[in-house]
Amino acid sequence: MTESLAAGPPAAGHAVGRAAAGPAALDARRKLQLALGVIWVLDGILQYQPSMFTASFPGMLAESAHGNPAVVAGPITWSANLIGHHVVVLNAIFATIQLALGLGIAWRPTVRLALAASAAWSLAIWWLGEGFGGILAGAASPVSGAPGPVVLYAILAVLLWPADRDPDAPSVAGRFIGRRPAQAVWLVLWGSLAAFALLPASRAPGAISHMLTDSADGAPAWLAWIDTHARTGEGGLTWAAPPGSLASSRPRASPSPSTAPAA
Amino acid sequence: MGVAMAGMLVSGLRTLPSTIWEAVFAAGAAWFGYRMLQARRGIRPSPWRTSHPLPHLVECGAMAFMFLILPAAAPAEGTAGGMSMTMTATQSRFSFLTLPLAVFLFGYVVWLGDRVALHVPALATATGDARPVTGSGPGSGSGYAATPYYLAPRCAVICKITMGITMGYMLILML
Repeated sequence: MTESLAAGPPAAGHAVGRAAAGPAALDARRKLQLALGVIWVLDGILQYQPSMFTASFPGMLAESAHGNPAVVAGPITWSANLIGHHVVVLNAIFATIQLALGLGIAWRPTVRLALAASAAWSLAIWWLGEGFGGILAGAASPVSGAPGPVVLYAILAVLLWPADRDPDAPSVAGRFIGRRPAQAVWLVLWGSLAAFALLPASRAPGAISHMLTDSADGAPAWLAWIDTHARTGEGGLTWAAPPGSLASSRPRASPSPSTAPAA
Repeated sequence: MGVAMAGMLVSGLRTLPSTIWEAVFAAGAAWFGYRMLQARRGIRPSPWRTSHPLPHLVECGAMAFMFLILPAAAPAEGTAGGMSMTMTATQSRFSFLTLPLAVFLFGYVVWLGDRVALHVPALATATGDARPVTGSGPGSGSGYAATPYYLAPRCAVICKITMGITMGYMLILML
């Protein structure tokens, strides 16, 4: 297994030699790692917003338990209650962790540690903050963020791991896990998005319009404007099931809180 | 810039009127814009000048933007805890600028973090020569990077990172 440029802490002599040759050039994988770092920094700063230090944050987490099996919903409710009792301290810790993940990915000596922590933290948020994106609740829809944006961070952390098992892979994603597994991940991701789009939660009349309305609520003016206009255009789409069908008789499930916690 | 940001965040730390800060940062933006143009023309920067003027241009522009958008907020709404960074409906028309500005600054922060480990050895081997580089990064338009002359390079980078995070936070508060 060969190591890439961005792999782990450099030896002192190597670092001096590299510096003497000028700042190290960024390869494609390192650029993508830094992009992941930027997203984590942005998440951390969003988590520091004053509104996240209020009861609305644990309330948003608790909503993700709705519709999930008890074994999934129980820990979500427990963590939401815990956060509700110590919202200031715990939210500050969460925000700091996410900021540290971003900076840790940026700082080369800690890139491996930060990527591993990034994957673990993402999976924890995916469960406790997003309720697995509503997949098990039957409420998953690409419009509401399913299968959950934060799970993509975990996938990226694995795909961008700084080691080369297949250095000749045609894409960066295949260099660590191999080209076939990378293609499988890509297929599962887009296949699941297509499948979620066909679920009743997405096909019910007005479902997408409701999701867009929910997205616009509390959003900045320019984002709300986009959602509003998208909602207007959605009226002409043919995703909606015909009246009287099974899909149209199904009650609309609550959208997944895809942004919780600020991911 | 740090003093100006402290004054925006905490009303008790205000030192100068907003109009003066606007002029200062507008002048800074003009200067770094000029330096950008020079870099585009391939003019080598002198060793004590930054070889990456773009982030400084954006930082000055972001500060001027924030002072222009929130001109009267500080004295009117400032409380013991600090000023309100929320905008009125009219001002929020420009809020679409805050997110890209913040993302750029976070990108700069992460890029600086990537470079932290490289600065100290560079200083140890400093010769004072500007040399061609092949790396990419914010503002790398000249094709030359001057050897850093900081006495405390890591401290300087950490200060820049702190400033970038704080400014990004202020922009996010304006969303």
